[in-house]
Amino acid sequence: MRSAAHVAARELRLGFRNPWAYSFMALFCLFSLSLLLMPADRLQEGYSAAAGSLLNLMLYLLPLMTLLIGSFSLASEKEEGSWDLLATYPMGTFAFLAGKMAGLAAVLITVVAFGFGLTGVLGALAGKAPDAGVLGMFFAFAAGLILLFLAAAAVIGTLAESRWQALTVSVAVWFFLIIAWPTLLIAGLGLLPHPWIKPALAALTAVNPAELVRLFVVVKLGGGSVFGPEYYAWMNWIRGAGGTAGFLAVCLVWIAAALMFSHVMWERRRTHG
Amino acid sequence: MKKAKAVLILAAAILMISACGRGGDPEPAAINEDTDKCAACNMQVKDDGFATQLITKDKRVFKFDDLGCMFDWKSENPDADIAIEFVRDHETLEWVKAESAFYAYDPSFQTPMAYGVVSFRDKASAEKYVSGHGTGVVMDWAQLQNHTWERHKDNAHGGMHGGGEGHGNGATDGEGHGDGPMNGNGHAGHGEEADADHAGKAHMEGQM
Amino acid sequence: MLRAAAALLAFAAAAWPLPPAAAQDARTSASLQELVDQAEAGQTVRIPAGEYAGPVVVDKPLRLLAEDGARLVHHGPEPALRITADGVEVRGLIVEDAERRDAGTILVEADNVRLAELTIRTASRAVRMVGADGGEILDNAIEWAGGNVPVSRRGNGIDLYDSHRNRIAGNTVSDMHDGIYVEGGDGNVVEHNRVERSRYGIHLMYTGQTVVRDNSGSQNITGIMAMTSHGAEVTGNVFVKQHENVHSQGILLFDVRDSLFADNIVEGNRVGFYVEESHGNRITGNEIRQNYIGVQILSSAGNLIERNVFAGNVADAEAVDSAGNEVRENYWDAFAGLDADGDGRSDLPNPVNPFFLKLTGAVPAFQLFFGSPGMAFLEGLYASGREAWLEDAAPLMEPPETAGDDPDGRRPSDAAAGALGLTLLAAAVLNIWYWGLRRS
Repeated sequence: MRSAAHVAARELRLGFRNPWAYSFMALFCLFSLSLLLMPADRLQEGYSAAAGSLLNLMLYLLPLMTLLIGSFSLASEKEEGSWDLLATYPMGTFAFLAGKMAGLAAVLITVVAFGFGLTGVLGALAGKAPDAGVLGMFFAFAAGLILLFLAAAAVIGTLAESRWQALTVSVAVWFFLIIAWPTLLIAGLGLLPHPWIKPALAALTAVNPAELVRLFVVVKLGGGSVFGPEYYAWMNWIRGAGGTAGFLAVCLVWIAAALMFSHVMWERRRTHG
Repeated sequence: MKKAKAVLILAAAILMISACGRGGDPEPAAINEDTDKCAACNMQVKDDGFATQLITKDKRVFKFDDLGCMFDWKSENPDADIAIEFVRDHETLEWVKAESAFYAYDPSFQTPMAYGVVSFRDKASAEKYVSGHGTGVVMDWAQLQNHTWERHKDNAHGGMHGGGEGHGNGATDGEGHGDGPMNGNGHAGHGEEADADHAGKAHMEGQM
Repeated sequence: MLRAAAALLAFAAAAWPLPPAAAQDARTSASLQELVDQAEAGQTVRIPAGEYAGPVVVDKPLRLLAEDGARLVHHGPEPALRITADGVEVRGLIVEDAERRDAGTILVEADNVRLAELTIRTASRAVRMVGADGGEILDNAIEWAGGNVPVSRRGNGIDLYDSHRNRIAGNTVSDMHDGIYVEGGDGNVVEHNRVERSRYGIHLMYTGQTVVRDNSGSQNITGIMAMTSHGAEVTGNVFVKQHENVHSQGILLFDVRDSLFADNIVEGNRVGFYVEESHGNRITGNEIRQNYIGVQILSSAGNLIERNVFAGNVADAEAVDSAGNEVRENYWDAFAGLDADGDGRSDLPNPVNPFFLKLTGAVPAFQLFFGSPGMAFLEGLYASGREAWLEDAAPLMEPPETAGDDPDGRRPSDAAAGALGLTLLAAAVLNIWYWGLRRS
């Protein structure tokens, strides 16, 4: 536990003394503030165009940044040899991994908090503040995306041999999960008999963190009915307290599975390497 | 790797589950008033004796609030590969294969979209319905194919309607017919007779 | 002393055997029917405060004016109040009816009847008019009193069957089946009513020349459900927040012909306008705001859709098989037009991509991709049959002047957002300072 905290602290110091965090912060603030510039389109209560486009902007930006930063961070530990050094200390591999991910998560969430905070404050000063509940929901949405995609980044960083490889794989995974996802699923599931499409789609949605988080937020904003009669029962469930618990449970399973997998791979490297 | 395996197992499980349901005719789907709307007219499908459904060969289910809407849909989707059609017995609300059901028709019978065709599981109950109303004809499935589907609205304020022209009570059926699931077989008579009575009176007064 | 005498006198007066007219004054369940029976045609009858038992049948032209607190409380299989004579007026009565029946709480079977300022608490249909022409249903308050059953199992608020030229105005209906249901009948006017939390707010079925004007409502499954009707004028209505049900919409047109839908506001609905198999209608000057889907058009042609405002909808429009409509000069806030000749209209058309509606029509499960970033990408790739798409030939560059304020009138709180923002910002800055800038 203590060693994990040390690793996390190191990650935080590294993060906030490096330019990438600040350039990401600038980029994110730009996105976040662009909300205020949309004229009549204040971010209001509920699922609206402003909410939808902000959701999509975040889905483009956050997973990509998180995947890159997360996988780079792990791959470079290997490439630069700092892991070989750390491995000589009496520190568990899991503590190392968990600490690293926790530290990175803290850095990224801080960046996002800064962006949304600035938007809230400037919005209030300009008299066109977004709805506070929606702003809070989006902050939670961003944090969820960061945590889930950091877990994916851990796997990528574990498997990648170099930063270059981490970069290409990250971009490919991002493209697959965010951009190509509906296209591939529509093509693929279209081949299945009709009654299987819905369960298959549901199962696949649960393994795509971007879709999982997006659906959760839209439903929590009250927009679940837009997904039609097929999902009525689920939407009602997700909207309730059980849905939040279930969502958190799925996220935990996701993160735990990714960390476990990474842990096994690093252990193997530690003993065999 | 693990994930791929999990997906495979899941797919296999789905395959097995759906394989179990094979053989024989597809089962009728239940009506959910919260989510089902008529595939033809967009109205809510009530869980009453007028609901019908058809299931295509690839197991898509289409539900309708009135038998006439189902025929309307079939004429607009002539390419649909239909496996089976279900109607409900007006008395017990049990699902009956459309081809083996019997139908009572009269322009004055109230149905949600005013097509005036009511379905029954056997000929006897259809005949009973017709004799109970003192008007109407009984058809089987083959005869129903030649039926001209009309929404009997235009003669609503004509002069000639003895028993009352109380039809097409789409939404308001919630009162009369809506009782159906709650009190078994009494739902049809109670709603309709009350209505027909008032409608008839009103018309007679109107003519005087 | 004097006072005591006065009190004594009053007591004696009260105890004295009363003439029949005053008898109804007493708070017994004196029969309202007797009151009606004793009156002569054409008379005005005052109904004193008190509780009366139903049922009541009014079979001669009377004006029944209820005083404050006059309540008709009814149990039984007949309607609480049934009007069979032309020219009856009932005003101010409170009607409570916990019975479930088809005929309704108040049944009107006569012409030129006026029901005004009634309060109706019903477990059935509140007002049912059958073959009743030229009546006025004004300023009544209708609410459901049948307990917690789904709206689909409740009765209609005001229910017109084969009734003509009635005026339904200023009523409020909440928690019913259809707020105002008009089946058959020509020339009815429905205006300034408000319907909340019911199934359909205003439901037209097989009607002609109905006027639906300046009504409002929220949180119904559908605001205005216009079906198989012609010559309707639907103007100035405001329907917001029809979004809970998976088939919710602000205004639906199915098989509607030659009607006008103008200057309505639909905001925050699942679908603003849904148009199917409807022809020859004019849809103009409506404000379609903040809906999940602004407008869906299916299998419709020959409609004129112009000078509407589409703003803040998650998706502005979806359309299939609807190329044959005249669509022009609408304002679409999500569309980037180009106006080279400076006439205020874009030289580039705004095409409506049918892909998603087609896809989900075939496989409803894919509706899960609504609003997904990858879906926008896929739609961008799809351009087949482009000439058969519905498109706005000349979209407006700026919203027309009708565009007013948010009818909801609620603005997000600046203070709340500011406070949340400040908290987040402070936490972030503290974190950055602690780990990044602090010299330890």
